Amino acid sequence: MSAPVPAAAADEIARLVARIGMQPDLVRALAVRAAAVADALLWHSAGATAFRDQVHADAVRLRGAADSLDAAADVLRRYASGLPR
Amino acid sequence: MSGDVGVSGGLDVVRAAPDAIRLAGAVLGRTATEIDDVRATCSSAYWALWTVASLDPGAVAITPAQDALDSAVRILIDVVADLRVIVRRVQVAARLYEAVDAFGGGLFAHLGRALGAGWHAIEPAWQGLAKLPAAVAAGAAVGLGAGSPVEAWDAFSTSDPQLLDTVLDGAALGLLASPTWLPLLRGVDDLLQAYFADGRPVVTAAGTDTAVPATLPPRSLADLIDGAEWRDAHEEDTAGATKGGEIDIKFLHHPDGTRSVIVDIPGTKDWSPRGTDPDVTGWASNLRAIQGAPTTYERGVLDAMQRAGVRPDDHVLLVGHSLGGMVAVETARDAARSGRFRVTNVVTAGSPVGHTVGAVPSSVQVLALENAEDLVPNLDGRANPATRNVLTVTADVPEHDLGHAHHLDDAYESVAEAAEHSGDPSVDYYLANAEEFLDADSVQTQRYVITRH
Repeated sequence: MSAPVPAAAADEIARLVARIGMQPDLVRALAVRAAAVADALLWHSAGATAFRDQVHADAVRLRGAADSLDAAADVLRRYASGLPR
Repeated sequence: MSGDVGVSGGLDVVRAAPDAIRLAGAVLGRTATEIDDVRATCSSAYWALWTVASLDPGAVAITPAQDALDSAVRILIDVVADLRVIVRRVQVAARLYEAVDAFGGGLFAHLGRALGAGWHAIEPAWQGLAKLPAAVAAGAAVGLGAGSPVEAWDAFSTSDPQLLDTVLDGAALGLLASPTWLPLLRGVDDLLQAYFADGRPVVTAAGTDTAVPATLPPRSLADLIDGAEWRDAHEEDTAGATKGGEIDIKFLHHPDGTRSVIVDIPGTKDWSPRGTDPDVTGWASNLRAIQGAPTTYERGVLDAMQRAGVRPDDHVLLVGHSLGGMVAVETARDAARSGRFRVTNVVTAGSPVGHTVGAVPSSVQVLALENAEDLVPNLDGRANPATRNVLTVTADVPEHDLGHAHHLDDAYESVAEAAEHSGDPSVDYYLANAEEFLDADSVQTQRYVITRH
């Protein structure tokens, strides 16, 4: 049986949930922006293809980071819901 | 120049708007900064969770949240770093495009004036060729951080000339694997070869060179380069109607009565856009020699050797700079095939012989000297084969621009000295093999002028 979590800690968890919960959409928006910049650019060459491939790969990685942040926020929400108020 | 469409490589393979590239770089830079802000927020949340967990020993339930945050932060760190590299590269690419555009545009205008109406016949081909470096720049955009476009281009071309080999080989970006690229190059090359006609050689004896440098038998590799430089620097005085085409044939006499022969073959002197050019050191020879095709220059060298009285059993060393090195390799190959002369050694300096030197028979020892900062040896887009009879020595002789990095006296005498003092067993073996060209008692230098008719 764990010790009761102080109210201050519960408040901190609530703040963290709010703070982390805002990030995934922001990260996804930045990924979309980066990919759009690469796609819209007037640049056609082998170097341009490599450039777009790199930016798109980074956009994919950003979406992966956003998913991780969603997962973190979800875990914290569930944890917070079980805390005494 | 216009900022809208800066560069287009032949058949629209390469199109770029430097200003737009620069703007995209700026937007991606801001994006990286915003991602880094997210990273900072997530990092602080991660450490706040540690604090919370320390207050609740049973808070194992939040461990997955910590792991997920940690994973996200690591990804964000990597992406920020990656984007910042990309931003730096595209900024350099924009500068290179502008530099190449200015470079190609200048040549374009110059040739247009020189050729007049005939220009229209080769204009499409030239547009493709002149912008070829743009594709290279695009593919190999490197983080040089140079200031002006000219500085960027100079820095690019002198800091890592091997990039040309890499890019043209397609190893980095598969440039040549592109189905549209090879036909473009072949088409350009065919058109240019058709325009810059080769012909037949006319060899004229220009007498014996009695100047002191031409009467001193060489004692070292650097002396061989010095001898080639002497002819290269002084042929304009005697060549008459053409700037180039004068070669040396040196008879070395040994104490035991035997003799050896050195032939000095200078490089390009004439970049005239004339389609029919009497100077054998111009476009027509360069376009053919880089692919290993026979040239009037090479045939002239063989004819001059015959005129000078070189015998089939004389041991011959060919020394060539730039185009002269390409011609030397082809002369050695063809002399061996025909049995006309016995070429035993070749020394090239700053010559793009990657495509051709592999065809030289094993009876000929080739030493290719390359300055690491010289672009020219890489123009063929292929590294020299490393075989028992082909030895390539590369030394880094810093020069502030491409021209000096290619000069015999500025760069290649130093490369020769570096090679000679390297202590490398392969170099020592080569020099031992070439000893008969370095220990003569006396030398007689005969000059011949080769022109195209």
